[in-house]
Amino acid sequence: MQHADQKYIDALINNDRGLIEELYQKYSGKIKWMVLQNNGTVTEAADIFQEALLSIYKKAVNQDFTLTCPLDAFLYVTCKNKWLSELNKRRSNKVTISSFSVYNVDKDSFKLAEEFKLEQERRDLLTEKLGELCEDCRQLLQLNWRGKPLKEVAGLLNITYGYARKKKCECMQKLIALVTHFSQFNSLKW
Amino acid sequence: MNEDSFERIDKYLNGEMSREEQLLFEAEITENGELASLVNMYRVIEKDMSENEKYYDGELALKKTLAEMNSRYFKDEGLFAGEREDAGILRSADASAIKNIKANKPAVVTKAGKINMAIRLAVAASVIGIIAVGVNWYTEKQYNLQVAVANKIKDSSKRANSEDTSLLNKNNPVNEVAKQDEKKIEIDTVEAYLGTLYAQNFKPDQAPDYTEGSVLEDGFDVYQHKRYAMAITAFDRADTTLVTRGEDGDQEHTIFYKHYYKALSYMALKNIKKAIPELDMATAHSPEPLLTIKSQWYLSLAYIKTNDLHKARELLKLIADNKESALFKTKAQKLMQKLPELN
Repeated sequence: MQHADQKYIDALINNDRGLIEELYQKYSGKIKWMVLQNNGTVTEAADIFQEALLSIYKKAVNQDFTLTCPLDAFLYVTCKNKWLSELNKRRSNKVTISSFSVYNVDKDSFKLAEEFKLEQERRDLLTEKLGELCEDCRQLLQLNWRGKPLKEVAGLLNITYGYARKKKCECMQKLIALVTHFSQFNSLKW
Repeated sequence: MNEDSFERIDKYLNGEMSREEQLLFEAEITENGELASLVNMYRVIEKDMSENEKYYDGELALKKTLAEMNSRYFKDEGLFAGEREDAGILRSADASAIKNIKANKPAVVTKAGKINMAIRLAVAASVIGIIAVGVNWYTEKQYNLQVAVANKIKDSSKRANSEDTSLLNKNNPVNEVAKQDEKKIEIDTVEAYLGTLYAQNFKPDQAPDYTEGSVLEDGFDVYQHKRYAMAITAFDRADTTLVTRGEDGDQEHTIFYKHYYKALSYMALKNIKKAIPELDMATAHSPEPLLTIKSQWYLSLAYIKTNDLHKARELLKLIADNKESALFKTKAQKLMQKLPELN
């Protein structure tokens, strides 16, 4: 059953400034506090909050994302996961928190946030590996993924259709190799 | 796996193989686990990255809004007063866990910690109980308010028609001000009530079943993803004169849908004033009785939201008398019963 906070998800989809401001008024304080209390700065807190909202946006525009739990708990766990991931990148020893006594997070919010985290990690890996491809590959693939047929992409890049098709396959081969050779590829349950 | 494999995978996933090639390739996938994994990865990456890139422009616009909000809400090193209050709820529960994060030690729950937890749980349970009672009281109050508003409007219309003018001393300025205040309170209450009725009954209609190839396809695509502002732009751009399948019916449907879904997009964005003329156009171009009823339904909701109860009632009466749709007949009858009486 849809939660009343679904309006904030719809606000992100529609770039509804009024409701987005309401979302910030209600929820940004807790996230700021969480990051500041955990060796972060205000700028980092802002980045984490923005990333979380953009992740939710991407999921919502592409799938029918129905929020079935309160947004504050879901957002808190999502931001916390992102911040932990950031902290772990900086430290050699893995940071853990043994309990979620921090926040009264219900099971639904926790489960949704964990599923969301996995999807996000896959997406982040793809984006990172795409960045490792050459400019030609990135351009060609991104134009195609933005809905332009390969014929049109070929026209835009001033190459023949046959070459564009061949190039796309080469680039996909490289991208798949980069992704599958990532050390934690198996944990992402592709 | 060589380049040729990737070309075949791309052709297969894009439906560019002949039926025979497709069957042969599928047989090969069944027998070759490595090929099967590759096809799956290729498919997943194409899907995920297309989803990522498809709404690139929308994402840019949202980033701009979020950046602006960030600069307002994340500007100090400390917390604002309101944030401290929120954060205080978390601070006491988190102190030991946070210390351990900084020291890179695992969190330890002590006996004192367990007792504190029990107390916190007991407090939380009683707070939840109080909230439940409060919600129940509030819900009942809202229902009573709706009944009171409906009665108030009936009473005030009776008073206006009554021959007893002893209470209406028009020469007394205090009474005049009191009457105006009372009228303003009544108007505010009625508006809130009608706003609630609107919110309870408005739900954007689904896009029609078959949209592929339609000149409105782009509009339907973003409409289904609730991108209503983009949907309006896409519907505006669509040239309905390009419908050339040779059937007048198709063009009629296209013109209807263009206005209808544009109106619903406006209503979803709470721009009722712009929705009304679009619904008028949709009704005027409706090719089927059921589509007429649907556009009348939304138009009645728009009139409720803009407090035009005469027009709302007229439309609801038409829908309640219709023989095409029992569903809308019932909806209209129920909604009419909830509308305040008119003078």
